[in-house]
Amino acid sequence: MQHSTSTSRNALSQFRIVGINLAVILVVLSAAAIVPRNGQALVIVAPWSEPGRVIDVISDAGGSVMNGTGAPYAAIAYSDEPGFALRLFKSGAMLVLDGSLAFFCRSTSSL
Amino acid sequence: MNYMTSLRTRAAIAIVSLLWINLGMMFLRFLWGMEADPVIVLGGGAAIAAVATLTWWNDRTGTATQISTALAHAASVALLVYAFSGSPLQIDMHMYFFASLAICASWVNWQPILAFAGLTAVHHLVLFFVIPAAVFPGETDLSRVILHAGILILEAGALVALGHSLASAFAQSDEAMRNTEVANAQAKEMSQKAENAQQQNLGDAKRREAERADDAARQQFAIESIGRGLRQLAEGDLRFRLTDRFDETLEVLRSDFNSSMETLEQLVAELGSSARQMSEGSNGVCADAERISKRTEQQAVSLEETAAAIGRITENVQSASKRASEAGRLVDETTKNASVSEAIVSKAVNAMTEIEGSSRQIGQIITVIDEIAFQTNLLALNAGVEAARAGEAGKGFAVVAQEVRELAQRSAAAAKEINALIETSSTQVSSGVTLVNQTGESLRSIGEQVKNINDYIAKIVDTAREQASDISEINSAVVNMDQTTQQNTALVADTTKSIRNLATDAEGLLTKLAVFSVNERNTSRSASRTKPAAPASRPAAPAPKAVRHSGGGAAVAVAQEWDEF
Repeated sequence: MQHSTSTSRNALSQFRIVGINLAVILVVLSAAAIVPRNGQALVIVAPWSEPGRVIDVISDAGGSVMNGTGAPYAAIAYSDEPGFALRLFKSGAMLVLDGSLAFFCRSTSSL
Repeated sequence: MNYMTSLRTRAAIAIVSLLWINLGMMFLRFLWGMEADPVIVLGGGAAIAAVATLTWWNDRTGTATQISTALAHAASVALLVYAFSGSPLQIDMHMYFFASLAICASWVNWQPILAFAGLTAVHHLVLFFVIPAAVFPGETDLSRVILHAGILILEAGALVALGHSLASAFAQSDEAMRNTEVANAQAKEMSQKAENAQQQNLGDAKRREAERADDAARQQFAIESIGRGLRQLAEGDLRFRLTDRFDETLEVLRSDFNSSMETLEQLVAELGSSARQMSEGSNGVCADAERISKRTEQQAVSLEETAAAIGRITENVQSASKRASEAGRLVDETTKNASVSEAIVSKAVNAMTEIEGSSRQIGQIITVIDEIAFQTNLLALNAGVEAARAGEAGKGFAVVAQEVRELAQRSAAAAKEINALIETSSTQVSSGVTLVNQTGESLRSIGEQVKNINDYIAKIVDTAREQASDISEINSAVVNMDQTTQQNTALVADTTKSIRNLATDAEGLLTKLAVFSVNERNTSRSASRTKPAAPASRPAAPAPKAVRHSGGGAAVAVAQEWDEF
């Protein structure tokens, strides 16, 4: 009985160790997937902010708008200057993703 | 520590070191210039390597360490591929997935291989659909993913099989080592035991030599004593006993010999006594069996006579049955005749009734005649009166009128007499009708009684038939008893012959038993055992002396009992 209890406790500990490793790996790989590359970024501001807010944020960060999305609080921006994502966060963006993830928000040809 | 653990301990160092080498390669790529975010690549790679290293530090070869380092390698290679985004070498970096998988196989365990393959498959599929540029350069399609997946599955399967074979080989090697050690220990122990046993054998051999000489002397004495006893036994002397004590180990033999002789002597004595009693009893039984044979023959004769008498009774009963049937038939006819008489009586009653009616009509006619006679008398009177008036001329007429008057009076008297006769006749007819009715009633009651008699006679006939059947069965039973009695007679004759043979055999047995000499007390003991009601005043048995068996006279009492039977 005691042996089975210690065995199950050991198995739980092993699962926990593997879980921690897997969590770190998933966080790193997810970050790599969603961080903007090639200067393109999907910029998302707070949904309750006023319309046009996302345009202000992109312009403050020194980028230009490449395309709009179906949502008024998200847009695809471009800048060839390094540190574009960091500047977007500083300008007030709530979330900055890679530009290729824009399919999450239906693209439109205009704002 | 077995070979497997040693191998895994050394492999773990290489696997963990390779994680940090991968981080160095990422740094070189950063220096070269890359599109990917350096913070993600370098920071993420360092974090993955650090967590895996801590895991290894905590448990060098545990299953969790193996799986975690495999996952870390898959993630590290994915980061390298990510770091080569935009480079034409990105697709070539995919080869590093397969190389790293092979390196993880050095854990010699299927779990890290599957963990690596699983994470790689999920990574490729998700990124192919979400961000293809993170895994493949330029335009790509699903066929490339499928190709990479096929190669991955093939390599993972081969590595799992290889690991399994290696693990089996290591397990067999460890088992062989353990067996060798155990065998060495056992061989050493056996050698020690053999040496001890050899030293003990030398001391035991000397001691056994001395004991063997003593044993030989004692055995010689015992053999000679037993040989003497057996010679006495061969001569038929069952009184011989071994009195000198043997060695402790052979003392059992002496006591067994003595007890065997005792038992044999007692057995022969009892056998002689039984044979004697059997001989005497057989003679008595033989005489009684002859008497039984004669009585059985008499019984057979009586049974034959009984059977004949029963046969006659059967014939009588059958004759009575036939007569009763005849009586039944006669009673049936009587019943039919009684029914016919009843009809005749009914007809007679009807005839009487008709006679009564005719008498009544005659009475009525007579009454009419009487009235005519009265009117005629009146007319004759009137004619006489007229004739008297006529005088002389009417004298003749007066005579005629007188004659007519007399005739009328005589007619009236005759009519009265007839009336009286008719009344008498009517009364007698009524009484006749009553009598005839009573006769009919009587005939009906006679008919019913005859029916009852007929029923009784039918029952008597049935009973007579059943009696005849029962008597027939009794007759057959008596015949069977007769046959059985005759067979019994033959059997009793055979039994008598057998008993004679038995008596002869018992005499022969006594003659043969006379060869043995036994003590007299054994003879008397066996006799008293078969006859427990021996007289109490019998003198005590004298000192044992040799007796020889011979025929005795104990058959008198048995013969008397059979006479009473």
